[in-house]
Amino acid sequence: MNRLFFQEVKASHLYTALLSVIVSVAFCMPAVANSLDNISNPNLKEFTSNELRRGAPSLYTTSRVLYREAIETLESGDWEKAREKLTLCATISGDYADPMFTLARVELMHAHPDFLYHLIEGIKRTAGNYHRQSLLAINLLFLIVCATTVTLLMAMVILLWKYWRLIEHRINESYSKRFAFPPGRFIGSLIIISLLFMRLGIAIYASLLILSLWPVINKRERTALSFLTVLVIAFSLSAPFSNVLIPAVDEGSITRRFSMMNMSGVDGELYNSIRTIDNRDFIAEKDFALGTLNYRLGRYDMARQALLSSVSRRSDFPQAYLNLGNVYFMQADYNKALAGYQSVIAIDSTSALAHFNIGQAYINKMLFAQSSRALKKASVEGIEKYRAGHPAVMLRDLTVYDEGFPTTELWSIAWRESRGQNDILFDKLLRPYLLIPFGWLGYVLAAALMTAMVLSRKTLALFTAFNCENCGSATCPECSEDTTGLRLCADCSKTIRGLSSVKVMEALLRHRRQKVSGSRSSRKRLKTAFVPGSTWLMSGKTHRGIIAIYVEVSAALSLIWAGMYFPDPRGLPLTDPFFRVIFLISVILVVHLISLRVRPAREQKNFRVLPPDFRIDPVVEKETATERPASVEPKTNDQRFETFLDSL
Amino acid sequence: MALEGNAKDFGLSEIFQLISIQKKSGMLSIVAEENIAIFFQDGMIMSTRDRRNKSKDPLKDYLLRYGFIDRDEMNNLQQIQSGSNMDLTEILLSEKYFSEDELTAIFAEQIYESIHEVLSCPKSQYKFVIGKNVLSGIKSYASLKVEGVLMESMRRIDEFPEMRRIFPSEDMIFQKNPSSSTDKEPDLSGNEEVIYDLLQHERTLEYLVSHSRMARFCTYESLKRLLETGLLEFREAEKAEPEKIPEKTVKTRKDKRKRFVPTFAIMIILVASFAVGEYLVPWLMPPGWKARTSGTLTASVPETAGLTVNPDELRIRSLKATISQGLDEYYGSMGSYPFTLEVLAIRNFISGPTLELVQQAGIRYRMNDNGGAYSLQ
Ligand SMILES: [Zn+2]
Ligand SMILES: [Zn+2]
Repeated sequence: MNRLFFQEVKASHLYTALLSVIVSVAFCMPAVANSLDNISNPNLKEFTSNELRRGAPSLYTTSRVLYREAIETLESGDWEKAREKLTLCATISGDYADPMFTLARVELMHAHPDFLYHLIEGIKRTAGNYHRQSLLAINLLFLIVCATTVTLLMAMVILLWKYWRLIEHRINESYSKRFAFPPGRFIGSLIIISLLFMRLGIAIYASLLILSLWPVINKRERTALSFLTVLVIAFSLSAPFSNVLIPAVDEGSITRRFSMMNMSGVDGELYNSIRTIDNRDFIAEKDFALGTLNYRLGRYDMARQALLSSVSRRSDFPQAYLNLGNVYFMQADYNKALAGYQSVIAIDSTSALAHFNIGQAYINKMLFAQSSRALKKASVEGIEKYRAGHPAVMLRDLTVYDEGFPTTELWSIAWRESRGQNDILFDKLLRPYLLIPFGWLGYVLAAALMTAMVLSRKTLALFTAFNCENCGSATCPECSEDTTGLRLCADCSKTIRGLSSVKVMEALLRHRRQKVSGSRSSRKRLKTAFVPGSTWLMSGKTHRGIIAIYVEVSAALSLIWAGMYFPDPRGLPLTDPFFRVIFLISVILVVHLISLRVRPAREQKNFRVLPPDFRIDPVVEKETATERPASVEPKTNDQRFETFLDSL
Repeated sequence: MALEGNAKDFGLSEIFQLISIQKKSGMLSIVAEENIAIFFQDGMIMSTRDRRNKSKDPLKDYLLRYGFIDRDEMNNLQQIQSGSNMDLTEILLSEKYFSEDELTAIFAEQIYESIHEVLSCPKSQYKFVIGKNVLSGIKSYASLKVEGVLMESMRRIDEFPEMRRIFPSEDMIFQKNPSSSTDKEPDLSGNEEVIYDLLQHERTLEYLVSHSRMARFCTYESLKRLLETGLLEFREAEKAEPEKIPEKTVKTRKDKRKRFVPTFAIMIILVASFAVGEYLVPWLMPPGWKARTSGTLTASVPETAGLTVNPDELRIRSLKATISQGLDEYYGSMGSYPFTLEVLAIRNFISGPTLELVQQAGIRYRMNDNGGAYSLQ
C-alpha cells in the first residue's frame, strides 16, 4: 500500500494512523485495485498505467474504451459479461455517467435489483463535473428558448386558424369596400401566403400575429399568449448571460482547456493547450494548471515555480496552496508543505484533502498525535467520499492528494471568460430564423404586445368582429343585425328578413344553424387531429393546449437534433435508439392520442330562443324594437358573446 | 285492409259515400290525370294535401292560381318552408297572411275544388288505405261532410259546361257597364262584390280569375250573375307577345375574363413577394446579418484565439475534439495511433458522418513517431 508510510513510521504510534487509513481505504481499495487487472486488453492496460503514471485524476479514455467493448459484448447478447465490463468501466471512472445508465437499463431488463442504485449513481454523475453541468445547462437552455419561441408561434398560428373567419371577414370587408379587384374572398389568404413568401423572419411574423390576433381572442388566450411572449422577451433580454455557457461548447475555450486537466494524464497535447493560453486575465490559473501538471509529471522544480507564481497573483486559491504543499512534500520539505496546507485551511477549513495531507506531513515529521488528529478531521470532512469519487486517485497509490480545478472554480472562470465576449452565441444560432439579433426580439415583441393592448383598449371598429349568435359565422358591427335581440350575420338576418312571426324565425334560424355549424365542426375536427395541441386550443382549453404544444415541440426539436443541439464532442455518439428516437416519438404520439380524445368544441346546444317579449310589430313596437338593442342589449350581448367564445 | 279499383266499375262518389257512411278514417289516393290523396277522418273529409308529395301542394296551387299570394311571395314562403321545415299553413298563420277563419274558408274551398277536379275526371284508379296512422302529421283546418261536398261538386260539374259556353276564352275583356254605374253603387253581396270591385278598369277574364281570391267556378258564376244584372259588359280582344332578348353568350365570355384576370394578378403578387423574400430582404439587412446558414462546413473559417461564438468555428473545434478523443481511444486499445482517420472510422472510433465532416472541413491528420504521436491540421 503506502510504502513511505511503512518505512518511516515507528510502531508505537502506528495503530492510530493505520486505523484511520486502512479502515477508510479498505472499502474501496480492493475493488479498484483489482479493476486494473480486470482489463483484458494488454494495450489498454499499458495505456492506463501510463495515464496513471502521468498523474491522471480520472481514467476517462480507458473507461470509454471499456464502455465501447461492453456495448459490443452487450450487442452480441452476453449480458452477464457485458454487465461485468460495464461495472468495471463504471468503477474505473468516477464521473462517467453513461456506463451507469446502460448498466441500470441492462439490469432493469433482466430484473436485477441493482438497477436502481446504478440509475441514481448515473443521475448523480450526469451533473458531476463542470463540463457535464455546463453542457447540460446550455442544451436545456437552448431547448427551452427554442421550444418557447416555437410554441408561441405555433399557438398563435393555431389561434389564427381558430379565429381566421373573423379576421378574414374584416379584411375581406374593409378591402371590398375600396377595391373590387382582386376579389375580396381571396385577399386574406393572399396576404398570408405572400407574407410567407417574403420570409420576413420569426420576429416580424410573431409581432404581426400578436397584432392581428389580439382584438379577436378571448381573455384566457390573451393571458396565455402574453405569458409566452413575456417569457420569450425575458429570454431575449437576458441572452447576454447565456454566454457564460459558451465554454461548455467551445473546445478551444480556456475554461474547457483547464477542465481537461481533470480528465486525463498529462501529455504533450494537454500541456501545450494550457501553455498557449495567452489571456492576461488568467495567468494565476494558467500558472496553477502548469504547476499542477508539472507536479503530476514529477517535475517538482518547475511545478514549484509555477505554483508560487500562481499563489503570488491570487492569494485566495486553495488548490494552488495544496499542490504547492505537495511539491514541498515530495521534496521532503515538510515544514513548507505544512505551511502550504495550512494556507488552504485558512481559506477553506473544510478541505478534506488539506487535512489528509497535513496528517501525512506530520507522519513524516514523526508527530503522530497531530497526524492522527488531522487524519480524523480529514475523514470527518469526507476524505472517503473523495476517494470513492476518484477511483483513479486510488489507483495512483499516492501519499498526498493533489487537486485540479474544482467545479465552482471552473464556473467562475467561465463567467470571467465569457464577459469579454460581445457577441451572443444564441444570437448567432437564431439569427438566420429571426433575421434580427436575438436581443432585439424582446423589444420587437414587447412593442407589438403593447401596441396590441393599446389598440384593443380603443377597440377600433376596424378590428372588431364576432361570431353570429345564431350560426357562428363571422360578422361585424357593419354587416350584422341585432334588431331581433341576437347579433346575426348578414346571411342569417337575410333568411328572416321581412318575417314577423317568432316561431317561423326561430325555425328558420335553427335550421340554418344546424346546416352551417354542422358542416363546419366536422371539417374542423378532421383537421385539428394533425396539429399538436390544436384540439385543446380550438375547444378553448388554452393552458392544456399550450402545454401540449410545448411538450410536442420540445420532443420534436430533440428528435431533429438527435438528442441535444450541442452534443458532447468527447462523448460517444448516441447510438441507443431509445432516448434518441423511441422515447421522443412515443411522447409525441401519446400527447397526440390524448389530444384526439378531447371532445370538439361544443356548439351552443341550448336553443337560442328569441327574447320572449320580442315582437316586431311594425306599427306599434317599432320604436322600442330599435331602441332596446342600443341601450340595454349590448351589455347582455357582450356577455353572451363572451360565453359563446368561451364555449368555442 | 285496402279498398281499390277502377272508377269505371264503381264510381268515385259511391266510394266517398261508402267511406262516409261507415265513418272510416284513412287515405283515398286517386290516380287520374293528376294524382291526389284525400284524407278522411271518421267519414269526414279532412284534407287533400299529401305531405309526402312535396313537389305538389294543392293548397299552394290554389293560393297561387287565384291570387291569394303572388309568385314572389310564394317563392319566399317556399324558401322559408324548406329552411324551417314548417307546414305552409303554419307559416301562413304565423306570418299573419290569413287569420284562422280565413284559412279555414280557403282550405274548405280548396277541398271543394280538388274534389270537383277528381270527380270530373272520367278515368281514374283509386285505392283506400284504412287506418288513422296515415293521418299523422296532416294539418287540417276544415272537416267537411261528404254529402255536402259531393252535392256541391255535382252541381259544379253540371253547370260548368254552361259556363264554358258563356266564357269561351280567357282573353275576354270585362268592364263595368257605363250606363248602369253612373249614380250609385249597386247593392251586391259576397263574391259578386269582389269581382265588381276588381273592375275599376277593364280586365281580362284571366286577370279576374287569378285575382279574385275564389275558385274559378265561383268567378264564372259571379260574372254570369253580374252580366245578367247588366252591371258588366264584355268584348273579345287580342294580345301581343313580348319578345325575349338572348344574353347568355355575352355573359359567359365576360365570366371567363373575370376569372382570368384575378388569377393573373394573384400570381403576380405571389411572384413579387417571393422576389422580395429572395432579394430585397437580404439586401435590406445590414452587412454581416446572414439570412441563411450555408449548411456545410468550410475550412475557410478564420481562427480566433479565445472564446468564439461563430457556429462554424465551434463546430470545427468540437470536431477536432471528437477526433482527438477517438484517436486517444484508438491509442488506448491498439497501442498506437492509426495511419489515417479512415482507420479510425472503420474501427468505429469515430462515426462515418464525422469523418465526412472532417474531410469537408479540411482537417489534416498525420501520424508521427511510428504511431506514438499525431498532429492535426
Ligand atoms: Zn349567422
Ligand atoms: Zn362584416
